[in-house]
Amino acid sequence: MMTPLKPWQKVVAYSALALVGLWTLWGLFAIWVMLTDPRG
Amino acid sequence: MKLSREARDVLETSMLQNRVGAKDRDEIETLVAILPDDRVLLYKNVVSNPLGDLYRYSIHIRIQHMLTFVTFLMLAFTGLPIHFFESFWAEPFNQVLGGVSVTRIIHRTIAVIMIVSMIYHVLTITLGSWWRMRAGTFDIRRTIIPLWKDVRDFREDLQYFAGKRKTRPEMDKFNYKQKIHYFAAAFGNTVMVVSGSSFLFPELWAMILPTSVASHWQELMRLSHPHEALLALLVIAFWHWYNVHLAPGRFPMQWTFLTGKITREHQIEEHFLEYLRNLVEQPAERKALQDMLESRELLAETGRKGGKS
Repeated sequence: MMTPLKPWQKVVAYSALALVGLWTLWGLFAIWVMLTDPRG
Repeated sequence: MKLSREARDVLETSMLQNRVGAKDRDEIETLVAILPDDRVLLYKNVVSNPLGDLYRYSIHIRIQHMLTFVTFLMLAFTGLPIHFFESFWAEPFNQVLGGVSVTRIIHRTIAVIMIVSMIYHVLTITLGSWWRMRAGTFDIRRTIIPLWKDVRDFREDLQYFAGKRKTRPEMDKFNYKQKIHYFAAAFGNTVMVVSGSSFLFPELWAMILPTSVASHWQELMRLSHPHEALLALLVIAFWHWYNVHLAPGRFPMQWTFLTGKITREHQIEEHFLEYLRNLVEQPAERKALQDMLESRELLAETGRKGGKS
């Protein structure tokens, strides 16, 4: 049973999650770039 | 709770290493005896602070993780427009940073910081192990070194997730999954450093390697560097981040990398053997557990099953 996060903890945790989400988009872009690279 | 042979051995070793006196030993044994046999009842009922309850990582390990993750993100972010510098999308990226030659300098500077972090890490674990060996508190089961038990844990955990087993295996401080991840990262970093250095110092590598190998070396490294980077990126984005952000019990974020502490719930579920050591090393944890068992009516001797929800 986890105690609830305080407001500032929510800001930190969800900001980190947003950063991770954004960075995953960059990762997906990188995968697309590399898989479609004509040089192989 | 009747401890398994492995758990009993971990507990005995820990009590021996911590020179536990008769009174404390009695307290620990009594507490273990009244634990419910069903470990799920324990971790579903303990109260946990999401920022962590039990010490896990030193400040050195946290600094190294911070350095590695910041440099990793920046290296992957700058590496892609360097590798594809002629592409239409790469040009604006490089222009923002001052041109591809500047992006290269940034990339190499960050790489040096990552290498420093790797050396710092190797020094930390080597000196830490040496110090524990001297103090008589070293236990290989508490390290990241893979053991046969990890193979068994892996099999039993798969059985649990396939619904063929009631509980997860009793895993140690580092479980099979973390060990695979750690050595994959160590291997990946080595590949990146070796291949990256062959771009920076081709003459040096040509001098070291036999002529027959040196001629193919650069080509091999040019293939390895971007593809290992892509592999690392996949592992971080779809495995590590799932485990520390999205997995049940971790959402929205596991705080261990900042606080150095793990939650009680997580420790009991995934690192039960380490939790037994926590009971030996931290009298306050014994008290907290005892209070929880009493308040939730989970004492094994009462014969009652099922805690309050």
